[in-house]
Amino acid sequence: MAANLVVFLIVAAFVLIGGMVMLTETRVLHMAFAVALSFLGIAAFFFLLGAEFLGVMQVIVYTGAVTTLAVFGIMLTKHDAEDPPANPNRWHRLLSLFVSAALFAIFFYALIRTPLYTPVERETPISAAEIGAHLFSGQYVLAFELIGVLLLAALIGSVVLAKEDAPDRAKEDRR
Amino acid sequence: MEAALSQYVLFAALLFSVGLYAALTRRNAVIVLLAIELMLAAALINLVAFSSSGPAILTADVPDARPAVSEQVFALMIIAVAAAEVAVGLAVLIALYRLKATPNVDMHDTLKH
Repeated sequence: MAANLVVFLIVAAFVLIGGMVMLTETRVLHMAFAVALSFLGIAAFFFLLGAEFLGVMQVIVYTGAVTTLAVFGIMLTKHDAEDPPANPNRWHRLLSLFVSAALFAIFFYALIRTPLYTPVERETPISAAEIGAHLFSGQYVLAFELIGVLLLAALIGSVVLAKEDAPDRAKEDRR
Repeated sequence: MEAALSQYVLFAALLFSVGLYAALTRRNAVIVLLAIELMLAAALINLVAFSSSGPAILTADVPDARPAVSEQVFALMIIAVAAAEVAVGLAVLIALYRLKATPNVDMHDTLKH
């Protein structure tokens, strides 16, 4: 099963390249597409892990919807094509780098202290039907309904938030 | 040799840190939102990795190495919540942009003063 490890490394490189391009690129739209590459790579991880349904969901929701929304957000707001080059004070960047590196160090330390075993035998991957049966099994059906309510609330809330204020429009009408 | 569970977890930690650094240093609000999504997706990798390798710590009373469905259900719900979060986040961003015509997060510091 050496192929699995090779594929893992290739996909990991893709995801990291996406992240690094986002960090180094100066044009905002290019950053958004770099993140889309990272999201695709994460979906590939899900396929690699045998979670096919989640991989497809990842492609649809993250790569499709989230990136498209972000691109719309970039294009709807007037921005300089380039992100302002660097923060005025270098301490901000250094501190950010330190915080991220320290967080990774903590994760790394915790990881090498935790015994994780990869089970030797793997069963067949979980099918979408199995996830669906589990979702409606009574244990999670309430959470499922609440997710539906949450999505509805988010839909209405985002429309309310993003629509133009009524007084402004009245002012424009008068003009 | 299979890619081990710890490799996935380590990579997710790395991706989370990259996302955190991007969220702290980028200045366009949309990119900051995307970086936060990247951190969320990194956390998802953990969940799916633990799901596909069954119980992480195999003991005598949990010898079953069957992939767990529950984690994938959790991951599915996290994806749904993430989608809702992005929609609301971008709506807030548009409203903020209307208030102060810049997407630069450093300019939105009204609460600071």
